[in-house]
Amino acid sequence: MPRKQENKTKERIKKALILLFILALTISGFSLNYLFKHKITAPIETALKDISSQLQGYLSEPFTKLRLIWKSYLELKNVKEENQILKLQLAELQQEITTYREALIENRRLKKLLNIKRKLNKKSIVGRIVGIDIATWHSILTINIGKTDGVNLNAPVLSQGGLVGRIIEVGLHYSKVMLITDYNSRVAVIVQRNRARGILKGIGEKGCILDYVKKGIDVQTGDLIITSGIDGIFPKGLQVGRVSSIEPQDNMELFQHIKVEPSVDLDSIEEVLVLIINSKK
Amino acid sequence: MVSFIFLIFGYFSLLIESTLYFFDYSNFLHIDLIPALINWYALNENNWKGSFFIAFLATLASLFSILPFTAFLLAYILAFWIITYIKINLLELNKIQIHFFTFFISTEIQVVLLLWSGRPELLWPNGMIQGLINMALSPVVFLILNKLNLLLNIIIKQKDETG
Repeated sequence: MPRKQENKTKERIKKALILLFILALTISGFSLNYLFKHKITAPIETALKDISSQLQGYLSEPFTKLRLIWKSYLELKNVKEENQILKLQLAELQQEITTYREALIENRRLKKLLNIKRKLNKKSIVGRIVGIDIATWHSILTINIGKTDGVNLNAPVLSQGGLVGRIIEVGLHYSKVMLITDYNSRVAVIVQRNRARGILKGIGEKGCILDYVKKGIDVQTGDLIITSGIDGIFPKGLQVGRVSSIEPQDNMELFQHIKVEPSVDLDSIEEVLVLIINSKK
Repeated sequence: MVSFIFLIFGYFSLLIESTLYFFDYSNFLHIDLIPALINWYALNENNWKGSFFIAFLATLASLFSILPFTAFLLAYILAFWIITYIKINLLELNKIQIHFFTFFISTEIQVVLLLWSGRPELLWPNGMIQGLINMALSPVVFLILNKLNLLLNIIIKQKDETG
């Protein structure tokens, strides 16, 4: 036991001496370095720094990239917010442009109607379409003008391009227009080129047919159809449409099968011109 | 209360139907909530009182169409009586059956109205597609009407309690 204790004490002393030596070496090194102004450690320092800088160079690349990514993320976050604000502003501006464009288109349409009004030299009034018939197979529209505006029953209704239909019902502030494509619509017409008479019948979505034109009469595709005025409803000379096709028929049949494309795009009209006629007539 | 909701909803449905068209004026297909409304009403109201209000709805519908009041009365009252008859004679109705009735009465209404217009041939295929659209809208209409009914009943109860 005493032997073991003796060994332990010796070892402790040994460790303490080593520590003291290192301490002395460090202190003396610092002191010498200070005295000789880094001349001793300078080469080591330089060498270490060189190596370190090389390593730093290798490491800095990925770290710089990481820093850039982080910075970009932070910037992106700000950009995202900015983008949202700009998007909102853009949407507002686009809405404004749409409103202006809509006003411009409306202005053009109304100008065209005004031109028709001047050409016709008849008293007329502009109405806006506000509704359709709930029995949608009937081509009937509701417009926002009525008796108080001077609209009468059977008054012809026009649009840019030609005839739209006639008034079939009049209220105080509304009227119902039967389009020329309605199944119940009949208009007395003539072919402008050769003055051949016929009756224009509506066939719903498919357009119109020109009926009661005798077989031998020369009618060609593209011929202009105008009102004849003999029905006492529509004034003479209003443009109705053009012949779109002539179907072949049996020998036994008396009349030709002529399809007519209305001059007015009835599916997209928004305003119409109602002719003011004398109600006593 | 059911009749009140029926008439108000009916009027707004007609307004929507006549102003909200899909692509163009001549397009056959449109949003028609009336068949689903009649279906709901027939399942929630008794026969005689219901028939009276159906006549009111027919009057309103004729305001939005060139077809006469009698055409709508015949179309709607037939639909109402069919559903009432089914309701009385069937003990249990599941949800799919109820919404299928909308398709059924939608077709019936269109048959009557198209016959009145003299264009029965238009029933196929547009009339059938319209029936399917109406059936698809039926659950939404039922949900709105049931919620409205519940809400109005709660309001009335609360007023009665406070009064």
